[in-house]
Amino acid sequence: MAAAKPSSQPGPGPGPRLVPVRRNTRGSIPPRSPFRHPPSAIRIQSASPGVAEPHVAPAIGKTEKTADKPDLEPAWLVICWDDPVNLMDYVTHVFQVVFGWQRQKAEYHMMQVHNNGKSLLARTTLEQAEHYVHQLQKYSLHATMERES
Amino acid sequence: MKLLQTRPDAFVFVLGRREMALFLNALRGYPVARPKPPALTLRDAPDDSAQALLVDSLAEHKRENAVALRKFLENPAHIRLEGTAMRLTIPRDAVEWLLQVLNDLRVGSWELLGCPKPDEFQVTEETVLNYTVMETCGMFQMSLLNALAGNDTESGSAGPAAESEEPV
Repeated sequence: MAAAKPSSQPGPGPGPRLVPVRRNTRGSIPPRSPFRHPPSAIRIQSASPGVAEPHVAPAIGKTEKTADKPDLEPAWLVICWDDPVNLMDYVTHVFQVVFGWQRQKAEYHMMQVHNNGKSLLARTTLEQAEHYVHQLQKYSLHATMERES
Repeated sequence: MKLLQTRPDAFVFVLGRREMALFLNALRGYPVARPKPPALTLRDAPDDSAQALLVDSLAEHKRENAVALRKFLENPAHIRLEGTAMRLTIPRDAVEWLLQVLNDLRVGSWELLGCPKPDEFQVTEETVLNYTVMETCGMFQMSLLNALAGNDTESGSAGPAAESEEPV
């Protein structure tokens, strides 16, 4: 038995139908959503063929509040610090294991630690940064997470 | 410590008896009571529970490694006498936790020495044991890393340390 194919025709009954707008859990429109219009500009489709489709004019002149920055989680930096005890090959190996990097990239960051005293290994979310720091410290590397200023 | 054979499931090393005694003696010190508690961050702790979680997680991880180490040392298939030398068989799935154990011993010994910089290293009657553990663990770490990288080289021989054995 074939699965029921969803119909592309509008449902029965007269009247306009709102095009659904995807919202996030906070109820606001996601910043990068293709449906980034104020509610007054939502297009209304007619359910009946042959009837003119009413449109609501876009709210020209209204300034749309850009909420890109505040809606993003603050970034956390995962940093590995220099010490005179961890072996260079060992540090390279750990970076490869924890981050899944190729040897060349792992060596680049190891040399940054060696020459500059530290290396920024990742810029990520709080949870992911915690995960990385836990993994690096299981190998006894001097790694911390710092909030991006 | 010389890599004798690389098998799909394990690395086989051959060691002199004194080398093996050093290796086992170092491993028996695990886990080291580290004087410096682990820190999640230098300045911006998300909250106290995150720091506590790190401490608990690392303590639990060390307990797991200690159990794995005990089982490893008790298994006669891993360490056996062969003529005048010792054969050490390390399964591939033991390499990561063994590297962690060796490095914990190395870093822990260094912390117990007061975190000296390279030009501050002073071997005295009081510090010689920690230096021995530190250097022994570094030597075995390099042997394991060389084996992983496919370098069939003898490491840990007397003489100046190779460049790759330098600390970061």
